Amino acid sequence: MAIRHTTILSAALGAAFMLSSAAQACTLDGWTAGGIGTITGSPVAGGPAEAAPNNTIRRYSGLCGMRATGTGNFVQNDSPAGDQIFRARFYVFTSNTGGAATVYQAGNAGTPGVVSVASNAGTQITVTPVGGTAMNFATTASRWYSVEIAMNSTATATTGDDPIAANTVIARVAGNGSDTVAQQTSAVTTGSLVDFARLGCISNCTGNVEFEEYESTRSAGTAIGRLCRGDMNADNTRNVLDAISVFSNINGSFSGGQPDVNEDGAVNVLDAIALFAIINSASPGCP
Amino acid sequence: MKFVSLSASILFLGLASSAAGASPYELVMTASKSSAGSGGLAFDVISDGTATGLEIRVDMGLAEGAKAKVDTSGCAKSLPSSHAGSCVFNGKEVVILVYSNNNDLLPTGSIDLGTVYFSGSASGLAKGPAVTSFIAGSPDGKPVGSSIFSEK
Repeated sequence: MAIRHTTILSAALGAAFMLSSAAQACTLDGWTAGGIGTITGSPVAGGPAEAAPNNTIRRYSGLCGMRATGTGNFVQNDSPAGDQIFRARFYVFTSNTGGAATVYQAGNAGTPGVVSVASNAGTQITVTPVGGTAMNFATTASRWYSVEIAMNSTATATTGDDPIAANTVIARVAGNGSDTVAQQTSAVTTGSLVDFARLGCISNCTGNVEFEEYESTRSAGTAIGRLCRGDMNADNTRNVLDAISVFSNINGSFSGGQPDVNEDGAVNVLDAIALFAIINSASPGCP
Repeated sequence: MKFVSLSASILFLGLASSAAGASPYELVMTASKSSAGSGGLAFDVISDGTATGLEIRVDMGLAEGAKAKVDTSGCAKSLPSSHAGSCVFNGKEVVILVYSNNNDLLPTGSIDLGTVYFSGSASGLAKGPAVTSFIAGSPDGKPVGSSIFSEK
């Protein structure tokens, strides 16, 4: 699971962290390297190229994902520092059972959930900002969904390709084999600050939940966006070269890219079929 | 038959140019068109056995909002037993895919991808069909050299 934090404040850039993959075993070191975060409980990194049982951990992109089982198993990153403009995107596999589990928080010591995200037993993802209203997105159980939040708790709207109104959180959710992004907005309490971000089974969590591709920025005007389903070589389109790579992954030769085209948590012939449908359309380029 | 004899002569051209260092994969599109705006596009690929999959995109040259009848039933049907294929008209382009579930290599030599037939009013076909993309992919998902030869 790749973690990239890019701080865009007066052109200063933060460090980038990559979860080790390919030649190395999957680890969560990227969340704690240099003392920038902590691990609570026992979330586990894994992927299809790992030894059992970690080879059952689902991955969305690349070779590694993270699984958290039950409440109190999550990673935390402390590199935010009193941020009022904050963006984050992650992928969650909606396999938890037993009610609404808190799977993401961006907040501070006094208010851990300035923005919190809950996954409700596969039926709904809810994004709730402090001082705002819950934004509910219908989901299907056991599917990958991208969740992106964009927060501006200042009294001034931001500008750019993806501006955020003053005192507003934008939430975007998409998945289950569709690139259609559902978007809602809500108010957030003025002056709310983000000092850390948590990802995993934070509270009220039953069963396994998997997570992937966490990315966070402080960009005032640029969205993070979704990864491109079926793009196996990062050339921003889908063609026969990607189909060949998907077949390789199906046959056990794993690689980077996004082979789970239908986002059902498995890489098999259904993904090849879904990819062919994209290739055969008039718009095979990435959205 | 016309297409067979043309393919044979074009195959000769392909092999001769291979000796001169041309791309390992050559797509040959042979077009025939009647005065009524109907016609056929025959596709052959000259293979050197290094690719496992092919993708060909043909812009049918339709005028904005025009409709044409495109028959792909005779396309990508007689492939080597190691490969499957599809031939789809998406309203603008014909997309031909040839692939192997096991990423087996295509055989060397000439591979007949069949013929696409089209018909439409003279105003519907604003310009002649043209190949816009030809990709031959190796088993590791990388493109191998490819080139296009069209005879109209």
